[in-house]
Amino acid sequence: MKFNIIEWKSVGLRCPDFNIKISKNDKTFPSFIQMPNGTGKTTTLSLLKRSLYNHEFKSKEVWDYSAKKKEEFKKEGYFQIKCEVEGKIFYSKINFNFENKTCSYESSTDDGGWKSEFSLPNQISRIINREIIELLFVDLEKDIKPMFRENQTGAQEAIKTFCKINLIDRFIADLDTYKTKKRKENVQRGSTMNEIKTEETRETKILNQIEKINNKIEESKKYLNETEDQYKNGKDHLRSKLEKDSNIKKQLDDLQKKKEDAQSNYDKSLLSNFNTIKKIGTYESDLKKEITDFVSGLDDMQLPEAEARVFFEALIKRENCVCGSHLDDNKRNNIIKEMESFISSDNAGIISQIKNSINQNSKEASLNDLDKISSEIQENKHILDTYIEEIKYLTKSQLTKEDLDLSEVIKNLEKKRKEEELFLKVITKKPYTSRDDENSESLVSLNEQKQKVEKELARLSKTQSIEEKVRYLTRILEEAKRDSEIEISNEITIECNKKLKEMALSNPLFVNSINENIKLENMEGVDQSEGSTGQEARIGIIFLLTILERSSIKFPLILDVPVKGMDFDARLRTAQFISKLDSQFIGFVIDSDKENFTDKFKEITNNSNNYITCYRREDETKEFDDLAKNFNYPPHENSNAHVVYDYEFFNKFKKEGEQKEESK
Amino acid sequence: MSFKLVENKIDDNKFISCKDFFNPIRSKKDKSSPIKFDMCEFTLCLLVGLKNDRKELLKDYQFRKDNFAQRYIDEYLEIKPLITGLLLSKIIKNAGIDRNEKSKVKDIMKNALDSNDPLFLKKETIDIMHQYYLGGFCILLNEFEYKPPVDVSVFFTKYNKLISAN
Repeated sequence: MKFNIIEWKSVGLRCPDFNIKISKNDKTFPSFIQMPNGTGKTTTLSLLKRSLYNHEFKSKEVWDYSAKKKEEFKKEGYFQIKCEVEGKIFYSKINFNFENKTCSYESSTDDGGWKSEFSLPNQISRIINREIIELLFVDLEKDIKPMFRENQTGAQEAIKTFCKINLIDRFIADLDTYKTKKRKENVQRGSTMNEIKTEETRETKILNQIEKINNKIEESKKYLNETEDQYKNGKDHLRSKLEKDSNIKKQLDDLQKKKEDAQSNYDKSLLSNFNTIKKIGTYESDLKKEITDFVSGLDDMQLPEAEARVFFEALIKRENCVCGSHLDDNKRNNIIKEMESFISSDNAGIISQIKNSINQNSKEASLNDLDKISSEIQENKHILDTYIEEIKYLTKSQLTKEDLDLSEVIKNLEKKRKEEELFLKVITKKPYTSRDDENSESLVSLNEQKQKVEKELARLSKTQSIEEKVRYLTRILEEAKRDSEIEISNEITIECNKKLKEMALSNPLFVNSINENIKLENMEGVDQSEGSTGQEARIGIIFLLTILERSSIKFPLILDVPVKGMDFDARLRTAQFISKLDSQFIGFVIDSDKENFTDKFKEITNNSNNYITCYRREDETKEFDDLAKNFNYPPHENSNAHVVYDYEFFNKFKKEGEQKEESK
Repeated sequence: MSFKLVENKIDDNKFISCKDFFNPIRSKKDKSSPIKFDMCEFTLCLLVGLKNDRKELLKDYQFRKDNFAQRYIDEYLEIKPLITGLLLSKIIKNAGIDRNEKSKVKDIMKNALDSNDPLFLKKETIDIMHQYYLGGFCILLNEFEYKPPVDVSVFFTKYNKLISAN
């Protein structure tokens, strides 16, 4: 099944009033749309996405789509998309009311009419969802970069969504619903019903907490993603400032090394202090006196006397006493009474352990001097603080006021980012303990608690058999899900690397694995924590092309600035890969993307392509109007936008300052 | 039975919880700190209480509703017999029993120890242990003027003085 975008139209919005026709001679060739910066690429991309799934617009969001120039502001506007699925045309329209800050959807019907709601044709309504659209309509910088970042799960989610692994979750949810339904049908009465209600209340609390933690996880990931560039760039900036002077760099490295040694000594002295405190009896203290007195008292009393008790315990089990006389009940009771004055063998064991520990520690007595350890701690702390201060002083002397402010910002960011990372990597994954309750922040623990409550509910409602079967099936499905994810990720990794090898670039990066994010490695197989913008863009596009190829459904792939940061070789190879794509391709480009990309694409594909230029009409773009007239594409005088469908025009079009802006 | 940390002292506004007191010098906040577990907090307080022979009444305090451990965690297994010994010694002394009164000492042992309990102690003895823990925590609170210590090195320097002075 093939799904293509044919045309879109924007009227009265923040972006100019474009009417962009993608199909050429009723065919949807790969299309490059040249839109200079400031023309509304990002707005257009977000409207294309939102026109294909039901989005709930907030009033602020609606207002953001209104024209920003006073003379262009209109009370109402719309964005309309025309698509084709299996040769059948359909429309989706978003109507904006900027006065009320509201908007509504309209969709075409099979009989050629319109209905006032969001709706897609049956063929695709079950297949297309927000996740797929977000995945395939890509702002390279915003959407691809996170796929490589630690703490982000974009790549894993892309595989799950596109390879439909998420479907297994639906089966699991269905099984869960079935189990609950059966439980509710098996009505219980009296106190059992009250117990069920209590457990159900607890289950609801656990489910609410799971939802809360999942939301918090998303917020944490979002925060880490949004602050990553600011944090890394800030750190790089400060580092480059400090490393500019090789002498200063050497001094800093030297101080850093000394600081690390001092830190290690300080940590060791604190740990040694704490371990000593726990070794009661090895340092001078009232505790030592008390415990040694206690042990010597035991020795004086010849305690423990376990052997004696053991003797009596053995004796009462015999028929006759050691003297040979018969042991009747009376005599036996006398022996038991006597035996009770001795401590039990178990207690004797405890006393022995106490004595052994004290005796062991006594051997180390006087080895530890807490006063001396205190002095060591203070001395190590002083050395550490001195190095910290020296580093601070040297750093300060090299940085401007702005840099110092930046340094403070980065320090705060680092602290907050560490907290978020701790939450994502440790807190949410802590194993279950019996002390945990429904306020736990560990998803592992909450899921365990949920299972326990469900088991209890099954017991109370006498539906254990169903519960066990569902649990069994769920376990199989979860294992299948996990295995599929691993297998598909491995297959995609191999396929991506095959494509990357075909690119035959100098100093290439490869995909090491795709777990939560895409992990990179160099030619020697050594892990690389990150690639350059161009390298990541290249691998990101190849990743998307690879998962698109796996699908029998041909969705359009839309990329905003597809070759940003790539060198000329990589651009050419990317053009070659895109030319082989079965799905529709639309690329938003600016002038700097054309060299060795759109021109090479033209050479590779002859006429099976589409080159479109769109620009906002303003006083300073009059020269483009003149140029367009030369190509027999005169603009409409009253329109604030113009669209030209001509490859030569596409090539000649160049907005002043764009190259410069790009290279920043 | 199990270990518990104190949360509140009834009718005492100055009082801060054990968790809040140790929070700034826990390893989570200060990576140099050896105070990693709740058990560390408990033990540090208990030793000060035992050393200074200071007990507090349990009824005057509220504990955290969750017990932080049912048994000594692995890192603390070595201290278990020492604590047990110190508690027995205190109980014997407080009962006014002379070290020559063997049968009375043995009675104390029988009443205080429970080999089936992971702590080796009967419930009443565990309560006594918590009384000393509270006593030690109150001494620490007093030493730090009811404010959490801000520096782990300062904490241990003061702590060493408290624990080692005869």
